[in-house]
Amino acid sequence: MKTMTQHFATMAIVVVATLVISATPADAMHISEGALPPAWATLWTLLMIPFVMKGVWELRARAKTDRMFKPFIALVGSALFIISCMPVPVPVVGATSHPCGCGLSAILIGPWLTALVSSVALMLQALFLAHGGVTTLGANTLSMGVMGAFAGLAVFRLALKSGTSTWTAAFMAGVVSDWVTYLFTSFFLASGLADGGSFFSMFLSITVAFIPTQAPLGILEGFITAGAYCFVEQRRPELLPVWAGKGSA
Amino acid sequence: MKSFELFTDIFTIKPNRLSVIETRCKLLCALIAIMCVLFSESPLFPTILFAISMTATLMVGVPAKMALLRFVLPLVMATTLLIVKALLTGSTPMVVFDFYLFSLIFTLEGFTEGALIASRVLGALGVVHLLSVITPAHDIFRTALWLGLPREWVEVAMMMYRYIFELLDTVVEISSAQRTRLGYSTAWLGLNSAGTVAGSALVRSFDKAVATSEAMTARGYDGVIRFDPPEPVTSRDVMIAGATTLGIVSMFLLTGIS
Repeated sequence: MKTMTQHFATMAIVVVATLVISATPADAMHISEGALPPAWATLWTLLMIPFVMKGVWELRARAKTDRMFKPFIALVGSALFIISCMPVPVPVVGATSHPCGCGLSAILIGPWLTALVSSVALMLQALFLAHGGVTTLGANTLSMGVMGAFAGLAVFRLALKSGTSTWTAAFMAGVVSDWVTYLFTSFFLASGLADGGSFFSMFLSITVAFIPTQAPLGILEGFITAGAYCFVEQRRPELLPVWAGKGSA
Repeated sequence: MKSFELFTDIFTIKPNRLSVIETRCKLLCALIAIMCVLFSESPLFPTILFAISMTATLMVGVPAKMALLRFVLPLVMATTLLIVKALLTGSTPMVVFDFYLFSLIFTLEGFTEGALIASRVLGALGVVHLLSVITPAHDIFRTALWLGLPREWVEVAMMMYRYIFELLDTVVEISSAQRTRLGYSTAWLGLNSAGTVAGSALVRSFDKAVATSEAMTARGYDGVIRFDPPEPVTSRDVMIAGATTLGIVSMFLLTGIS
């Protein structure tokens, strides 16, 4: 039976190991192909389907009245894909990492379409960048395109209701969406890896392992989300209602 | 080499022995290979499959540097998982590091399970990566539609894939201009510049959407993208798919089950 001290020591070594290993360009840490056992991969994929289908229905409904909506969503999606590939310096690790973009997407086009766009972006990343995977698409979409998106949007709306500035609300949305994404990534990974051992220990260790890169990255994501949202708000405010579904593309 | 510079499909349009095989046959083989990897009880099978996939990837002309760069992240994750498993699961000590207040114990069972998971990650990714360098994206999307995925999802995927390359040029242009003007000389400036690039990408995407919609309307776009049906499967394709599947399953039975 491991003592508490040993548990903390174990987590410390995991953090150090991660720092040493990730001293190369890091990336948005999706669950890799093959990392989840088939049963868990299937479960997360089945749970993802309703969210993506809701996005498909919303797209279908809006495309009926505005036939340019599909190309428009695809372009917003590709912009978000590129944002998620943008290298951003992470001072703590001394390397570059990449934002998720799901918080920004959720406050711009809504959570359901974000789930749809995220599933497509993750599939493209899995196929053409070897980031994430086809069998782990469900887990990655749930963590990034669903949990991250809903959390980011909820925080954004709550912050606006409480009277904070748009910049602060967007910043908080970016930070929370990023952290929630990685919290659920850890959860999904732990579910597949615990394998009879302690789920809680596994979850905690994986979460701790992500902290060195994801804690500062979440804050960076907040800055990028706020910067991008306020840039659009200042330069092209007429676009925000169109993206939010209150106007025609 | 930046992340989005790795995003290219240039290799898929070069004709070779693998790219000419019908897409559904390639997808079937890839799916069977991934399933065998996931159900493998020994790291040997995924490792062999990874070696075969990487050899094939290099043989179709993908530069070794690009292939390796694409595998940096999966390797990071595989190694982290190996360490986590070795430290947190199992009971038979394999390596013990004694410190003053505590000792770190890497267990044999944890290391074995971790090695299996790490090999599965590499084996499965090797297969998917090989598939992506021998199959044009358009063929994958067309087959996805044939398989019954929602039309809207496939249409958005196809358009996103096409627009990414268009928008990339814009983003690279803005980033280069910012770097020239020392937009990333300090951390604060870097953050502001990154936010501006992200905002610009979104605004440009809207402008491009308007221009694209006009061009698409002029070409007869009525809200639905029509896909050609997949190419017919020839007897040669069936033979290749059958032989490959037989090979994969035989190898799995010989090396994947402990």
